[in-house]
Amino acid sequence: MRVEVGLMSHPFHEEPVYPGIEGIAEAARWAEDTGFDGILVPEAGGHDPFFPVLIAAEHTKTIGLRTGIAVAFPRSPLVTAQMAWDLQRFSGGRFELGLGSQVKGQNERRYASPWTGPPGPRLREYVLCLKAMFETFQNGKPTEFAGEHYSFSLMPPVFNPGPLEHSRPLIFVAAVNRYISRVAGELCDGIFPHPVCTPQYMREVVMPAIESGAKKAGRDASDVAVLYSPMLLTGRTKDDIERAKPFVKQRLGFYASTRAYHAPLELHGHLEAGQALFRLSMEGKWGEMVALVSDEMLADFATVATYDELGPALKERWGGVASILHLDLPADLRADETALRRLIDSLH
Amino acid sequence: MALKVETILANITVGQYAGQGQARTSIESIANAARAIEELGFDGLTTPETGHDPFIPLVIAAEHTSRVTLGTNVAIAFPRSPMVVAQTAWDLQDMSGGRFRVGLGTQVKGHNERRYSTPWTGPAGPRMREYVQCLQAIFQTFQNPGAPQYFEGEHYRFTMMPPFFNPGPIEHGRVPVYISGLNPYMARLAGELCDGLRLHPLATLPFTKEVVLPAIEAGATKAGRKASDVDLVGSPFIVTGKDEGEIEAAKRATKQMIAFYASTRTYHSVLEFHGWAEAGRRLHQLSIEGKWGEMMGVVTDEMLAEFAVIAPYDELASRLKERWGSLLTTLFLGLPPGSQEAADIVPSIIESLHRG
Repeated sequence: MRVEVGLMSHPFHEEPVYPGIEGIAEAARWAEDTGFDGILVPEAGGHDPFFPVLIAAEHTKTIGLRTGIAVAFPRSPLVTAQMAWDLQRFSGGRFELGLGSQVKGQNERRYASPWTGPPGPRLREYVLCLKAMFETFQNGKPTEFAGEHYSFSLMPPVFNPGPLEHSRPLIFVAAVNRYISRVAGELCDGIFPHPVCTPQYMREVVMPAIESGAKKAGRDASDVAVLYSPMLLTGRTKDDIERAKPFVKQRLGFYASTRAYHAPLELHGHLEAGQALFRLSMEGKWGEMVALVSDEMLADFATVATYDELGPALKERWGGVASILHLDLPADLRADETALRRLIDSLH
Repeated sequence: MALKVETILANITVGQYAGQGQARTSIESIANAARAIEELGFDGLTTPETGHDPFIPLVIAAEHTSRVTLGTNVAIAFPRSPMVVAQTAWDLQDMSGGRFRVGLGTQVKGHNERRYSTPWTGPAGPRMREYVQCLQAIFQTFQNPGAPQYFEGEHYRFTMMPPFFNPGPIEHGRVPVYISGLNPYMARLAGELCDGLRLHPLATLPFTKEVVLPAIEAGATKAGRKASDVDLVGSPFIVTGKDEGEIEAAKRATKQMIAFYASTRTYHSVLEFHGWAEAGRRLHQLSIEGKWGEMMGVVTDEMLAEFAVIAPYDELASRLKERWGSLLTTLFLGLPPGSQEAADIVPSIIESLHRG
């Protein structure tokens, strides 16, 4: 498996501090020097997801770079296409574009972005429109796209950024449910299942949907890379794991409060907890969520292991399902070069 | 009056307007260009949105300069939701130590719908007004997470900010908002709500005096502000060179740019103001037919003299000051790209404009 890492530890672990240009550059060099295969930048904490990719491109030479994910609909397809094209050029072909739909409430109420219909069909059109734009950039001649949500039919030469020396940026989509998993199989280079997707859910729901989408397009399911970012409950010792528990429960509780993510909860018998968490989210009671996440629920969704056992635990849980693992590591493990190299080696 | 002086980070070459594609750039070339602009003495550098993301070069410039202001000139607003621009602007403001000015424009209906794949939900002016209000509400919510400011309009609604998604306060938490335009609605909006107005290059001196300024004043009065609270940025066409031969060549190139802009109906208010409505209609028709090469012939010498400041290098600063010195607070000065001559003459022009 390829092993990727973020530029900072996850905001759920500790107080997030935005690292600034120097901090991002330093973290990017660290990731490359430590032997990670890629850097993943989420759209988290209210920050732009593309800037860290740019800074990392400037300060590294070979490591892969991706958004994981950028929220699609609040950006028009051309805004995303221009950005991805520039990043692919500036990184010398190392950029992969991760896109996700986010949910209705976040689009409408936080992003001030209209929700024009079910996210699956809209994201499918978004990807088709992006690909038409990429072809137009590469070939000069407009490749048009006309859909229900998106259409593209104008590209005067002055606005065409022109061809790349490298292939177009690969496109990954974030998915939980069948529809977008099928879209990944049909149209995309990779899928980024949400961290609430367990291995069992992947085998029973996501993988068959990828296969059916791939079949429709005459492709093979193995053409679609599976990038997974496991929720980790980890620490140097068992006591450290115990101390980290509330943070991981907070994160899982936050995810599980989102109704669009309830299918994997239902598969594992936690739908009732999910519904109670949804009600808390409606009341803005984010702090009360931890209490509703049981140890049993945590064990279903998180990989639990000490640092020494983490590599084998991840291989056992995700081997044969994920081709790329993004590891969201606590600060003290990020600082332990020996342990990190051992972890990366074991997953390679 | 002393003028601040800005320029463009990514040079658009004239040939691009005739369809010869975009310059290829790298991170290193952007960094070098940004440093060179700062060393020449400019107060600010700006980026257009012409087939490339306009924010990315400013991140590189923030890293490789320490003094100049950094602005988009302009980012197209509607294809980005207000939260997308707010996040981006907040990070850039933080990374640049408070040097960022977000510059927004509407573009026209056809480009929004057919190029950006973005719905056109109504007249651009009222939508832009809501956009700016929504953006400013988000900025306040970022700066004061405990007291969120929400916004509910017809086109934009911002009503939720869970703590995980709030980037939180930064040192220079008031990001200046500039808009571009030349029509009275945008000028009033700038007067009412914005920190700056970026005049379109087609805004002539008489048009700016008689149409734009009164509208800025009306907007400012409505909001209990002063017109002088708005940084008025002018970017008149400049025809210059070291001798007659260079100036003649620059005249032809500038006519081509004027033709390109004047083919867009949104800007025909200026042509009508000067009695050139028919030329505007012809240019629009030629653009629809894709006859880009024939368009410059429509622009007369009389039109050129009204749109452009024409002077050899050694007289340029004084001509610019004569025409624009009492109206503008900032002047956008396009650099002749990459020439040693430019490097030799630009610092003295900037110094002269700074002296006022």
